[in-house]
Amino acid sequence: MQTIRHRLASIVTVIVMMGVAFVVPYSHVLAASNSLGVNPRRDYTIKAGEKVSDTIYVTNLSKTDGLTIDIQLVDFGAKDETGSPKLLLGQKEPTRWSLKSYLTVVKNVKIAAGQSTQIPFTIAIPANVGAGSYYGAIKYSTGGDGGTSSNVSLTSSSATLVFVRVPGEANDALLLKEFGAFTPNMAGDTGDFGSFYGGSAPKYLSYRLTNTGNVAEQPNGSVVLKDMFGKQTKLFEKANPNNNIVLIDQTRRFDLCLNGEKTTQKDKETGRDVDVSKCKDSRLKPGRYTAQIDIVYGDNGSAQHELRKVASFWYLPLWFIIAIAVVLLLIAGIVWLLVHTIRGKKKYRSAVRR
Amino acid sequence: MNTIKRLVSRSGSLFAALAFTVAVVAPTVISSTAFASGQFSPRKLTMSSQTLGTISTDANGTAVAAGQGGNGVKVNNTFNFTLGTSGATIGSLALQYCTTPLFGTTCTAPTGLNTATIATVASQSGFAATAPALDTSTVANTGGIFTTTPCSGSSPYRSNCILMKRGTPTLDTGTPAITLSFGQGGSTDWITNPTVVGTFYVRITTFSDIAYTTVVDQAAVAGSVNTAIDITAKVQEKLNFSVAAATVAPGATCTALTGTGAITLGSAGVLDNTTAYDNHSYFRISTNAANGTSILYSGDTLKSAGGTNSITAAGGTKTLSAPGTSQFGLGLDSSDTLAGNGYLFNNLTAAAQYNSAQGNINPTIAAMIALDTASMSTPVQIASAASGTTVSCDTGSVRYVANISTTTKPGIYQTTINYIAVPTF
Repeated sequence: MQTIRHRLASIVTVIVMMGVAFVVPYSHVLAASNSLGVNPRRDYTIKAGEKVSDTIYVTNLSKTDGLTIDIQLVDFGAKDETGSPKLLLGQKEPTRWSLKSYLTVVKNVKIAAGQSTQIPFTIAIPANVGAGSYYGAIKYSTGGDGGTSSNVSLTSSSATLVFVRVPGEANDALLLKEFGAFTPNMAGDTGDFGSFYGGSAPKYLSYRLTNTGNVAEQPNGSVVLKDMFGKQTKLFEKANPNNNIVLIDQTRRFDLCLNGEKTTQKDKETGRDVDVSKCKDSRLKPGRYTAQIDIVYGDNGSAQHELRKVASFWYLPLWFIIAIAVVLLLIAGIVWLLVHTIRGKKKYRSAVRR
Repeated sequence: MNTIKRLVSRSGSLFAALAFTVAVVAPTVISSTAFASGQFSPRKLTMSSQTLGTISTDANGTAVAAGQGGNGVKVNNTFNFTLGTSGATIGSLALQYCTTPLFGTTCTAPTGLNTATIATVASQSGFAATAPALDTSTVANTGGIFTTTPCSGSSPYRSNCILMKRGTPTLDTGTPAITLSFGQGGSTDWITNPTVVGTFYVRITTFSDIAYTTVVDQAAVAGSVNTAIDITAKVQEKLNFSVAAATVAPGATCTALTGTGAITLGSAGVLDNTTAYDNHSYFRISTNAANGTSILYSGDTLKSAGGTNSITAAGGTKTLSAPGTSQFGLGLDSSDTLAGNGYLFNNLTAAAQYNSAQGNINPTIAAMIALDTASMSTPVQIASAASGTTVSCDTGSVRYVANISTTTKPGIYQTTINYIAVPTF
């Protein structure tokens, strides 16, 4: 009898538990912050055999929820000809410029609501590492609190790009692939170089550099544009004003706006001051233009290299061609009139003589 | 006579056409740029200090010796270059410090730089026979190359120029490697660095005469100065980023988004094959980093527990929402502005495949969505700010659209989308 009771009790218990499993709502995770602020970039020069220790400042932007961050070292490369990084999350083989072997950092950090912390890390370059550039991303991922009752759970991450230059005789090698007047597409990631513009004048002078060396280069230089009379139309003292980098194996395009404007505007919705950059019409006059570029790269005390190129383009809008044609026709007409008048006078004189 | 008349009438037309052609072509020919016959290669500039020209003490206020790394007021510059033209006759040499490396254009002196105090050549090697000596007498604002690119300062104009010349031009056999060093000692015989952070260039030119007129080789080297003092009250570069299922007013401080990161799709969480369902999440970003920013996402499509069943990802190319088919995707919804609390891109630009999620999803369909599952290994860009653009406070509204077909297996479908804010380089 007792055995039957025990069995019945067990069966009832199981049935109750099964019922609870269908009825009880899914548990949800306690609220956690998805908001963080980080230092976006770090640059170091570290000799082979030496190390540097530093910290990254991380803030939990939530005033109410704690922040748990998982920290991961990730290789990155160039996504395209812009400066957007391509994070290589799924790549097992390190890149040849990977910093993973040399950088140590904690794996996770907890930050209370509204607080900040300094996350320490160390970069140790072994003595046998060759000169060149090494870089990677420190990625901070929040846990998110999507719970199990939602369809889409959101998490946020941020990253610090870390660049290390190991000084010495490295292979600095940039190729100047293209230079000249340029029209980007809507997205700005590609476009076309041109030598003839019949509609509107080009807005940009651009150049493309390919890095075939082992140093992430920050080229410097200048560009000058002259009209067909040799008069300087535009001078760009800094051909790379934002000190952008050409990563190893990347072809990067640099765009220089011929008539750029930076203004501060008030956003209508929020009332905030917003810096807005625009590339306006270049207002070039019709004719032939010649652009000259001079790029210098290489570190202080290291061999430097210079790249030079000259490019030209025509700007002949339709109204100008029509104007020239009208002028030519006028000249031809005047000449014809003169000849016709001379002939007429000679006929009259002949007739008078008779 | 008739022939002459025909010639006269036709010549008028020809003359007009020729006149236009010459007017267009001739200036092109006349103004074409010709580079010097050779460049120096290899070449380098070594500066004893890259500190600003106003700094000669360390962070504690202790004086730094002249020629040392922390002294930007008294600097040594050493040039190493190999002559470009073999067997050239060299009479003179000019080192012009300018803000651009463009030969033939005006040489603007870098702000604060001073080479006028150079009184001796600290060291030199490589030149044959009698080496060039420091030239402090030639007036360097007229004559020779100085007619088009004069040096700065007061006569003899050495604020941004160092000149050297021989008594008579001398042949240098082959292409010797030259070393020239300036800034060596005493209280004044040094170069002062520019007083503004940035890059400058030294245009090196050799001449076959002693009047700095006939160019043999030309090349530029770059130098730079940086801030040196360790400032304790720094304004660091900062990138602030937050993600949530709901948004709040940004306010003056660009308030971060907080709250749950849970998005539910469907009617009470249930999807029907006769209609499309959507929901929104938000991200907010602000950064004072000058190099631009990129917002990426990484995530898979909706899958049932264990990944047995999935709702088809919309793919990497944006496509119209398609009720009745298995489809999940996302995109930026520029219409979801919520009176300034929602979508607001002042500095960011939406990526081409994710910029069309606004519009109807039922029954007249306009919204376009995408989802690239390869983003799990290589995150995909959804928005970006161009290089040189800070982001004062932008908010993105991401719209998720889900459709199922009549054969979609029952179950609870979930996914996690990770949004990543990274600086650009």
